[in-house]
Amino acid sequence: MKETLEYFKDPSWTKIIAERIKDLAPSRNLKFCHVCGTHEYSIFRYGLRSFLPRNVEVIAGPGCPVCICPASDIDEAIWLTFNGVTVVTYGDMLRVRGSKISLREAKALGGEVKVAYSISDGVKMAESEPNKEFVFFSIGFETTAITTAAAILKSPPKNLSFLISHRLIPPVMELLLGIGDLQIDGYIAPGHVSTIIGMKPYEVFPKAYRMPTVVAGFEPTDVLLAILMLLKQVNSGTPKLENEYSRVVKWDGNVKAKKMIDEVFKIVDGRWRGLGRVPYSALKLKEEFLQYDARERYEINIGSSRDLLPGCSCHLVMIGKITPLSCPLFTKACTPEDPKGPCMVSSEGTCFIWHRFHQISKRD
Amino acid sequence: MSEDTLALPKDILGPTPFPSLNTFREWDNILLKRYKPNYARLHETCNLCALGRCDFLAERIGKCGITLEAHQARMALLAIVSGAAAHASSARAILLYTIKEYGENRSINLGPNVLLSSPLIMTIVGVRPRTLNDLKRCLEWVQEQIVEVLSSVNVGQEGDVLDLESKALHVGMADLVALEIHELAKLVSYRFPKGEADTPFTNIGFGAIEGSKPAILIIGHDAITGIEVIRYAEKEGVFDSVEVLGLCCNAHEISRERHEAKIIGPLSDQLSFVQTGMMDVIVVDQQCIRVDLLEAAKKVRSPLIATNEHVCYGLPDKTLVHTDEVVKELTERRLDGVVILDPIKAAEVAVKTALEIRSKRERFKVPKEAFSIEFYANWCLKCPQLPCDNSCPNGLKIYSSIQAAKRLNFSKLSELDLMCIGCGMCDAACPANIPIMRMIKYAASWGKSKIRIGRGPIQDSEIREVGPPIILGKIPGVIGFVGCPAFTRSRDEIGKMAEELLKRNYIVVTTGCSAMSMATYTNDREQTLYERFNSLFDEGNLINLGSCAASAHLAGAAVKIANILTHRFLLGNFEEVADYVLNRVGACGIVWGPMAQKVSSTISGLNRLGIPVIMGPRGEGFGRTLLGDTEHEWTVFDARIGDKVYMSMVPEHLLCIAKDMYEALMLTAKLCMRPNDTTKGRQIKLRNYIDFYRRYHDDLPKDIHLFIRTEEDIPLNEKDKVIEKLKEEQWRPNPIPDPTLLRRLVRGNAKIAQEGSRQS
Repeated sequence: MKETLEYFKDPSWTKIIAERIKDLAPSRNLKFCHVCGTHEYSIFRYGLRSFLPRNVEVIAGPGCPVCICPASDIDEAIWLTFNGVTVVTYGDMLRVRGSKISLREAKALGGEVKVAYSISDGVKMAESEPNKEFVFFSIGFETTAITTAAAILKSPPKNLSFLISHRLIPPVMELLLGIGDLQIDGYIAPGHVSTIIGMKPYEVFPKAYRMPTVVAGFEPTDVLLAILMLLKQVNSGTPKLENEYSRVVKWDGNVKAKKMIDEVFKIVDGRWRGLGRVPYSALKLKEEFLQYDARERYEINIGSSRDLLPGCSCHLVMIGKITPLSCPLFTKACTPEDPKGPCMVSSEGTCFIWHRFHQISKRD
Repeated sequence: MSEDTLALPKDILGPTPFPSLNTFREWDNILLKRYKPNYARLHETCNLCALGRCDFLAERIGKCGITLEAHQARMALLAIVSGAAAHASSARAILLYTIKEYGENRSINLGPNVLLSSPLIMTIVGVRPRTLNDLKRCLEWVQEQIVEVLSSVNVGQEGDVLDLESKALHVGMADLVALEIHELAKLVSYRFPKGEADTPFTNIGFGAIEGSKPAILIIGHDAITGIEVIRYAEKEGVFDSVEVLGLCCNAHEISRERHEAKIIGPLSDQLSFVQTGMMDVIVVDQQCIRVDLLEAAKKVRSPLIATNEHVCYGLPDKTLVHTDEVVKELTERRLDGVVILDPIKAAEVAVKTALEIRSKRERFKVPKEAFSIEFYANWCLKCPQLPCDNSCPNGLKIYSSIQAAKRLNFSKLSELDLMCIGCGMCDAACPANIPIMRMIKYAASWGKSKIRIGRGPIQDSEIREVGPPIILGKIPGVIGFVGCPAFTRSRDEIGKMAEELLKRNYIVVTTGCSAMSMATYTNDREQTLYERFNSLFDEGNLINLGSCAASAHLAGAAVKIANILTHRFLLGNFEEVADYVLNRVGACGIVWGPMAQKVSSTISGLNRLGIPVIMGPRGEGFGRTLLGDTEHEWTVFDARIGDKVYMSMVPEHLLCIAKDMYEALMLTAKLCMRPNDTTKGRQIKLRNYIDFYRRYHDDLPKDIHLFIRTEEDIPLNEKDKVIEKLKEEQWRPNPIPDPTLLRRLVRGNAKIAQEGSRQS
């Protein structure tokens, strides 16, 4: 496996693929969209945009789980910290603002918040302090939903419940095509999510929308190869669903994981920060697991919420309508040290990535 | 509910600020080639100029050279422009009054939840109004357009059908601006709800009147005097000692100011309610006021105060006479009514007169229990020609109902109430002078029901929230019920249609008399739709926006979707916004009882914005439809590649007539389809269409193949049958495009759109 990975990082291959992309790029403008924070990270880290012809653009869609987490869910977590419950969550979630403050600020104000690297950390914390109430603030797409499902199926301690904020990727990909004005020519589908859900959910894009779709990995060669595959589809005029990440992603995905998700969750409408309520795009615990649902266990009362501060353009950055450079706050009022919008917080947030690598390129 | 604030973009001026008659001629041509004008040939002769009378059937063309078809278009335009003039006049009255009262620098600020307060003005006129004075500039533009369009109706002017239609669409667009000006002036000056969803309830119906207090009835559209009546009564501490009631749009306005004010009902109740004599004073301003109102008021000794130059009833002008003297003249019956053009003075006279005259006119009040239906039924001469039946525009069986009433069976008369449009033709036709309308009204129940008061604009955050469900079809459409209560069948129908749509997750918004008529429909627990459904702008919710002028918020919501969801900029960018609405926003209007020319004007504005409208059977009275057909090439540009691609036959029509409520529901499901519907969205919309179609027929809709683009569009529960049908029709799949009708929006050409998004 190690050899394979090296192969996908090999600069000589990257150069060959980049040359092929230049050869195949048509004269008209093309816009490919990915929906994964890790893809955006890879693109910036390896400077992949510099390999592309000027008329081939890759935009970032709503693929950062931290960025799309609605303020109302963070407000709920903050409410819990102020009401005698210890909230456990991933590190990135601490710095994202809810309607008024972030979990980090809530902690400074006396709320009890702990950071975990995985859900099993949360389970251990709850087991070690059985007299305290713990809530695991569980966010992310299908990739993390499976860890939550697995933890719940293992009957976690009674003092642990879950504030579920999981979202599903395919519905929002279809939404992007419906919104209009984005003029996407092809999708780079997320490798991690596809590992779980497989290829089938993307079938609709080439079939109904004539949208070339390639599931891609995260090494530089993966991403460039996906772009090359998309270009070939565009040129041939025969959109299809292809799998560049075949070393990991299978057509049916992870059948066992999908079964566990189906066993624990049902699909409901879910709010996405800045996008509104996206139908059939969120997970909720099924009736038989409601005892683990923090929203059922506690009478959370947060009132109305506010997703974006005035001037923040995260909602436009997230759908790829604008790049962070077009946001009036970017690098001025909004920086990783003092983020105003969610996209500037997470290491997978588009603004954070652009800020980080733009600063590096400026120094260079 | 999120309260997130829309980041106000830096204003970018689009290509068409202050558009003139022909600015959008190209857009109109695109629309009118797809949706061809059809005329009912209502005007086969022309008397507009001294060359005529021209008989088109005999002479084929008029003496000025105009064709029959163009003459129909011209007469339709005439109706539309007069409607726009009425709305503009109303907007002018309220704007000038609020400027006089509050100053021209009064800020247009509807609070943090409605930052995008003037979407129509911004899009159409290209101005972001910040003060009342800015609205004045916009109103001047509206007035200019009305003058220009009206001049083209003159003999020796426009004679081409499509150009006449283009002008009709243009003046309709100006009408939408007038409506928004009207609303904004009120919203920033009065205590109206400014987009809050959970507005209070008020009572509606004849039963809402208490009868124990002096009662003042406000009729009309301006809102000015009605609200001054409330304010004067509050100032004098007598608000609780009098009853303030409204009819027609003013009813909405007074209840938006004080929800304790009551709503009697829509326009169709006007004459019959005045005939009850329950009102101590009647105050009218302008529009939708019966011209025989003074005569009816005289009979029951209710003094009438006319407060607008447009409607004076031949009454003496007492604007400059001392208030007490006028009150004395009215209470002593020296005058049947007066004209008072100062709203504050008119309000004072109304309240004082009501307080003083009440005891003197007790005998003219005829409560329900005091009216003897059988007494009047016995007057019937049994005319063999049945003039009562023949005079009724709704074809009601009046004669047999009166005969039944003679036998003390009042149920037949009572049943007529829901279908009576209150025109009074039966009363006029009866040789025995039987007060037929009163008999119908007294036979019917005088109940009261609940209606939410008008909430005004839709909040920006609500638009953001529902954008994705609208696009993904979870909300199959936004349906606006607007217009008059001139229904050809039961007024229950409007409630039944709304209920059907609400249960299927449509967002239903309503205004004016339609909103009131909807409140007469109750379930077996006597609950109105307003009590049963929430009032957020969300799936399966029912929203009363307010008076007819509040229809601007319906069009405004469609525009806001384009701006808030994709940041398509608005200022002076009408064509691109209309293109977005037509191709992407599943909104549709239902004007079930079109009557006034004003409605036709608003319809025309909605059409140009890309919102199709369904009229009830009475829509034939306008003699004009804009219908799509299979002969047209149903293509759009795919904005990604610039190719012209087939996009299925949606929305099928722009302006059509439904013969009954079932056909209207079927059309609604169809007209909410848009080229860019996602597969899930189209599935839901098709499922609704099939369900509504099956109310008529057992089979699948015959035209279903015209609305299916790919197999993914087919509703799962009907898949086998539909596929069979598709095979029969030799259907071929077509991919879903990124649709636009404007070549400049094709990528590479879209300099303006790209510039807009970059700068914002």
